[in-house]
Parts: sequence; C-alpha cells; structure tokens
Amino acid sequence: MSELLRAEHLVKEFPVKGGVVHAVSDVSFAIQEGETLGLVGESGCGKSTLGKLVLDLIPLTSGKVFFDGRDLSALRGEELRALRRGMQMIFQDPYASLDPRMSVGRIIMEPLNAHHIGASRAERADMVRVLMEQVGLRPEFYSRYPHQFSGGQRQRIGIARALALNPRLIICDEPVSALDVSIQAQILNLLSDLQRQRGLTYLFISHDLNVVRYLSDRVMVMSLGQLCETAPTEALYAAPRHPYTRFLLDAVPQPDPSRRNEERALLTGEVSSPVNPPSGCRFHLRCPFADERCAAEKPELKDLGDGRFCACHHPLGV
Amino acid sequence: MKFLSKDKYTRTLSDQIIAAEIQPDEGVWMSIRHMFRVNRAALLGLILIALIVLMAVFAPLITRYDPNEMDLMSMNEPPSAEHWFGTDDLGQDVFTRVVFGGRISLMIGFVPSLISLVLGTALGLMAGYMGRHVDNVIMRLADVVLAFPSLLLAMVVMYTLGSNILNMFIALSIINWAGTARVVRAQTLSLKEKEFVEAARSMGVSRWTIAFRHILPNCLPNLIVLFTLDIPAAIMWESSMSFLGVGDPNAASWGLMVSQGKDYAYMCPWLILAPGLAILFTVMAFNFLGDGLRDAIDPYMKT
Repeated sequence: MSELLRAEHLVKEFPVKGGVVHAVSDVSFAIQEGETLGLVGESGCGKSTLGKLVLDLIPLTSGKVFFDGRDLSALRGEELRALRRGMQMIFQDPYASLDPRMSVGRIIMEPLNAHHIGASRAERADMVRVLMEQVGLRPEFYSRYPHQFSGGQRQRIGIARALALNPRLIICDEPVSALDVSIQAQILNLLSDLQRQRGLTYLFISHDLNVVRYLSDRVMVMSLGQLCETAPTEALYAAPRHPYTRFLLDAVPQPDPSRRNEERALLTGEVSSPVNPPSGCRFHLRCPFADERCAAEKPELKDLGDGRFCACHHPLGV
Repeated sequence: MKFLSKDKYTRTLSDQIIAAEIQPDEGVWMSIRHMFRVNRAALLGLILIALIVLMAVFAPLITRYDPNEMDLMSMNEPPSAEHWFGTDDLGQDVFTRVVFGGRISLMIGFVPSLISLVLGTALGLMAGYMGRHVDNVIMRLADVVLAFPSLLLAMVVMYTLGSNILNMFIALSIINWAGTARVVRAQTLSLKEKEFVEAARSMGVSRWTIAFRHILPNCLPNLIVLFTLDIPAAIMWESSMSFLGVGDPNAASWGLMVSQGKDYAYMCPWLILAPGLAILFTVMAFNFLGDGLRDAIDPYMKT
C-alpha cells in the first residue's frame, strides 16, 4: 500500500470578536491508498473543518497537504484542478448539499461538465445513468428534482456526484448522521461496496463511534482541534490509550440490557472553548488523571507501537 | 376518559395535509399554484392584468375612434352611449384615449422595470459574489440612489435630459435598480454559503458557473416578485411626474390625461376619473399579484 494523502501540521484559525477560534491546531496524518481512516470527535472539535482543509475548500492558516506525493499549495490553476479531481467529498446534509433547482441528472453531470469529460451531452448523460445505477438509483429518475427523493436517496445522489470524476480519495463528512438508522446501514453498505469495486480511499468523518467502527481500518480521535489518538480500529475500541477516547467510548449507549449495570466513566463539566483553549493538554481541565505537567506542557503524539499513536502524558494501560 | 373526537382528529389530520401541501419541498411553482387557489385577490389581479394587457394590445379593435381625432362639435361632453367616458376639451373620446393610454402606461411599467431588473440583478450578483471593493463601490452607489427622494431624483434626471419617453425610461430605471441590487446581493450572500455551492466548489466548478447555474436560478422566484411590484411603482412614478409636468407631453399616458384634465375637474370630472381609475385598477392588480407571489415564495425562501 502506498501513501495517498499526507497532511502536515495543518492549522486553521478563524478570527472572531474577542479572540481567535483554534479550529484545527497542528494536525498531521497520512492515509494509505485503499484504506478507510475514521475521524471521530465531539461536535465542534474541528472534524469537518479538517476535511474541508484537506480539500482546500477553506484556506489553510498554515500547513501542507500532499496528494499522491504532490504539494497542493505549490500547484496553481489547471494543474491544481486536475489533481483535485482525484479528491471528492460527500456532504453531511443531503438536503442542503443538492441544488433544489437542478434535476438529478444535471446535479450528477455537473462535475463532468466542469472538467469537460465526455465528448457530448448525450455521452455525459449516459455516464450519469451508469452512475445512478451503481449507487442504486433508477436511471428513470434522471429528470426528477431533489425534493422528490427521500434522505437516503438524496445521499445516493450525492455519492453518485462524488463518484462522477472517478476519484481516488473521498472525504465523507458525516454522510449518514442526517439519516434514519435503517437508511444509515444501506448507505454504509453502499460505501463499502463501492470501495471494494473501485479501490477507493475514504476519510470518514463522524461523531458516531459505531458507524466509524463498522467502516474504518484505522481511527483518529480528535478533540478541540487536536489529535488525541490514532490506532487500528479494533485495538482502539478494545483498549483506548487516551483518557478522552475512553470517555467517548463509555458515552456510547449500551444496547445490551444485561450489561447496563457495568460501571462506566462519564465526563462532567463543559467542553473547553476553542477560542481560548486551555494551556498544555487541552483536555486537562476535564481529565481525572491530569497533573501539573498536563497543565504546563502540551503532549506530543507519541508512537506506542503496533500502529498506535497517543498524545497524552499518562496513557492508559501502559 | 378524554379522547380526541373523530371530528377533531380529522381536522388535525387535514391541517397536517394542508401543511404538507404547502411544504417547501413541493417547490416554488406548486406553492404559487396553491396560492392562486387560496388567494382570490391575487387571482383577480392576474385576470385584471390579462384584461388590461389585451385591451392595450387590441386597442384599435375595441374603439372606433382615433385617440387624437378632435371633434370640436362635441367638447367636454359627459359620458353617453356615443362617448362612454365622455369627451375632453378638444372633443377627443376619453374612452379611446384611456385604451390607447394603456399602451403607454404599460410600456412605462414594463420597460424601466425590466431594465432595472437586469441592471440590479447583474450589479447585485457582482456585489454579493465578488465582495470586497466591488461590493463597496456598487452598494455605496446604491445607497446614494436610495438616499435621494425617488421622485425628486427622477425629476432632476428628466429636467437634465429632456422630457421624452426614452428619458422617462432612463429616469425610472435609475431610481429602481438600487432596490433590486440590494435584494439580489443579500440573497447572493446567503446562497453562496449554502452547502450545494460548497459542493460545486469541491468538484472544481468555476466561480462564474456557480454564479449563473446555482445562485442566479435560486434568486429567480424573488426577482419575479420584485418585477411585479416594480411595474405598478413605475406607473405611479410616471403618473406623478406627468401630473407635475415633467413627463413626455406627447406620450398620452394616463398620468398625462389626469394632468390635462385637472383644470376641468369640477365641470367634467370624467376627464380625471377615467384615467385615474385606470391607474388605480392597474396598480392594484399588479400589487395584488405581487403580494400573492411574495407570500407564496417567502416560506419557500426561508428554508
């Protein structure tokens, strides 16, 4: 497996009244070709911002993104557009991400038009129909409008649109969190089928730990704009190293009634503000294991072996 | 035990069905059709407008007189079977002049509204979409126009350029474009943050394609409303200016007829009543239609 995407020291700060929102602070990671990297974290921790930074949808404050070994910030114009064809995005809200005044056919055709793919409109329309079939939409729906579809079907439209340019990497920004649970499974299965058929690489962003576990090979945990922990999926769910990960996992509702009485560690207190994040480890104010060192010194992401990385002065179980 | 009576239950259910019927998801055209079924005033406006337009288009077929033909044997005659709305001081048939005046007044309603629609949309789109300096320059210009009392500004333009119908178009366009530009700019600002625009950007769709394929079509329903409300405003401005004597003296619009008839108003009230009522009905018809359209489109645009 070769490395498809590498992000180095990504920083995004939004100036606001009375300070700066540190949305993403010095995040580095890499995605291997063909794998699914899950990205979890609570609301407002900067997950979506990170996804958009990778795609250059919002400008970086600092840092670099390499796609297929090439530095995106060094490229301009047509070259950049051509390289970015390889990266597409599936959006969270299947209602807001489709233009209500465009037919499904035109929505899926839009990326083909933008990159002048296909010799004629008829040829592009044929490509659109093939794509619709691949994502489980009937090609007869070609001239219908988004409002005539259900949430799950709309998300299929979004997926077909993302596939149109035959990308290698797809950033899935909470693709199922707006859907009913029964539909979620269908969309997740579709995503994993497409990955097998096309050898896709996913950066899968979600706040739902079960969803991430189902799809991901590796998982990154993010909190307040920083990475806490990265590990192979099963290892992370079995034995989290970062206290924050532990609390996240314990917060997942337990569906098995016989295990509901098991002791669970639950967090108290407010999430710290990203405007003036706490010094040192940003989690130290809420962490039961924190000491003076955590308040003073920012923990770096350390290699714990077996593909696990953790940014904590007192990792669990070590 | 309390329970919902069947009557109450069906009523709640039908409320829900009605609510579902005007769901934003139904699309803007469906909601306009629904509005015409419910809002009788808007429907009346639409029918009136159709009648007035037909009247203006087929003017020579409706009346047997020539609007400029003078008959000095029958001056200032009250309404009769011969002259439905009477005659004026030159013996011209007032009904004929109202019918033909509709051509001028409708033209004065449509042309400047269309010009200011195109101009305001283009400038508003540029301001909202390009932002920064372009936005500043265009919107400050709009502020200047809006800061002047409209009638005064239009009169100054007419005085400067001269009183003819072409300059009337220019004057009315100048006072009208700024409002359209503001609306389009505001809508562009909100639309360009929408996720589907972000999606288009992520796919590498060019800036101008986004502006014309995504933003402009989504502004369209509001532009239709603005257009229908601009028309009666333009007719009113023109009438006011003609009444005050800065209109085109050769274009026999309804406003000019009122102006010319005012000297005989006590003796021959039909001279101002006929064109005055024509203005009233036309303006009201467009306002009813525009208000109805706005109501139909507003909830759709809120989502």
